[in-house]
Amino acid sequence: MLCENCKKNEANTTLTRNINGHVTVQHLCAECAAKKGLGTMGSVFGSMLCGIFSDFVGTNPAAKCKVCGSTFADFTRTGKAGCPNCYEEFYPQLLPTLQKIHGKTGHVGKAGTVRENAAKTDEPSETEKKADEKPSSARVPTKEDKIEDLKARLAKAVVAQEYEQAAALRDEIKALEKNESV
Amino acid sequence: MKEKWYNEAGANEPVVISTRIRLARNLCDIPFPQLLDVKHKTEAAEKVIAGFKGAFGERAEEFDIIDMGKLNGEAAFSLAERRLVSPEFAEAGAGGFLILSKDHSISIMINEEDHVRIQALASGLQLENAYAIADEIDDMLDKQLGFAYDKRLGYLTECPTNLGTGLRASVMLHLPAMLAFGTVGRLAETVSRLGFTVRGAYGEGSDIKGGFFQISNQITLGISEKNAIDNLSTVVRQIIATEEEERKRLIVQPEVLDKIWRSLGILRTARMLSGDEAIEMASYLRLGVACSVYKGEKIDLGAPGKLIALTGPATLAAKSGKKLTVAERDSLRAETVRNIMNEKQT
Repeated sequence: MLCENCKKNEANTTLTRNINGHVTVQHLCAECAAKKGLGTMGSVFGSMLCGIFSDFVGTNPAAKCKVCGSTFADFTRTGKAGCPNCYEEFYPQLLPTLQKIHGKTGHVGKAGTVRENAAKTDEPSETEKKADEKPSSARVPTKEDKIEDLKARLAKAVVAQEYEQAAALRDEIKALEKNESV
Repeated sequence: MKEKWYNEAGANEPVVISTRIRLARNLCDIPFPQLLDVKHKTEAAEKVIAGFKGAFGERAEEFDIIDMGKLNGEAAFSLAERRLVSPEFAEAGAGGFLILSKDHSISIMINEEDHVRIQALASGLQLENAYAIADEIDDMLDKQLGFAYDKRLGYLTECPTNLGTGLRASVMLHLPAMLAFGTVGRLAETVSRLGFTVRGAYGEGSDIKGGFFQISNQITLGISEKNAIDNLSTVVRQIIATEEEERKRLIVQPEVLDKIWRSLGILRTARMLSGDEAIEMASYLRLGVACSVYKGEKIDLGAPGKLIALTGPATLAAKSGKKLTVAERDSLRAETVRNIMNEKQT
């Protein structure tokens, strides 16, 4: 995709803006991103994986992991997760990075033990070694299911680079989660 | 006591020296080691060790459990020199624990980058066998510890580069001919496109010593263990074929033949040997044995690997029990090498 600003270079940065609920998404080349002040983010990414994490411009770097308290900014800075739960917290944001590192985003190898409380995705068989995700529709969906479903759709949207839809899904999830904690 | 795997006489492959399988695993609900202080690392390690003892029962006797914080530097780095632990793990010290089988073929690092790193090591090209061993240990420990796993992302690891299978399969290769003819550079380029990486086993970049290389897989997500291993195996077999072809051209060169014979003489008789020289001589020795240059001599193909494994600076210092000067170390190295060379060869 070409940069939407100069229409000359290949776009490699996504700028998502949310102003009073009005979301705009722009795909920019490095040069134009720098002109818009995004270039300064470069100094934050000190890790070896910094180039890989460039996609994270536009996501919320202050989001925290419930278990270890690591923020998404910590993840991008060090290139490393704080605890296993970080992957649950930052799953959608991580998908583009995983795509870059591995060329794939779904596990197809040995099936480990899925714990009850950790197993939020409800697939028909635990040992099924399929990479693609199918949200459950077998029982009456709870709010958790709905959030999980939205998260799965968000993940897909991010992989498909449909950021406009992704941003909307993300807000929807946030609203549901907020409502939940009240 | 069981013989160490790297001292085995059975290392009979001309090009492949050894195989290593590593599985990265983590405990649930505990931050990764980098976020833990020594106290919390130790608590996590106690959990893993208890799980290990529960899983292995009487077989746990076949292992040593080593508190890395209690080892001195020489002993710790001696483990790294023999590739039983990573140099980073040796460096970190307190909070790290090692479960090491008496024959050194199984090494479980606790609180390296991940909570648990299961390693199975073997001589020659034994990817399937080594994986089967690591896989079995993984199953046994998982029953006790319930490793962090997600259906979408597989085994959860500190670094996203290990997500999925958490598998790193490595093969140590001896490629003196490909190094001499400059084929190695092209090889590194080609295999990197296939998701593998090649690097010097001793020395990096332009300073590769002895033509020893390590090739390993990089991709862990979206590929099964079997496919990752099969792919590596295929690539390694192609490298073996290339190296063997190029050796035919190499060992007819008078200079090379001279070096092969001289190396034998030096290793058998030298009174002082530097680390670099030992690796270089071991490389020529291995080439000579593999290409049947030494007519009338009985030298085991495992000898060169053994003399490298046992003559690293930390290993020598640990053996002598004191800090050594460079001269003392070089003379102890020469003595160790002579002893290995003069052992009854099979």
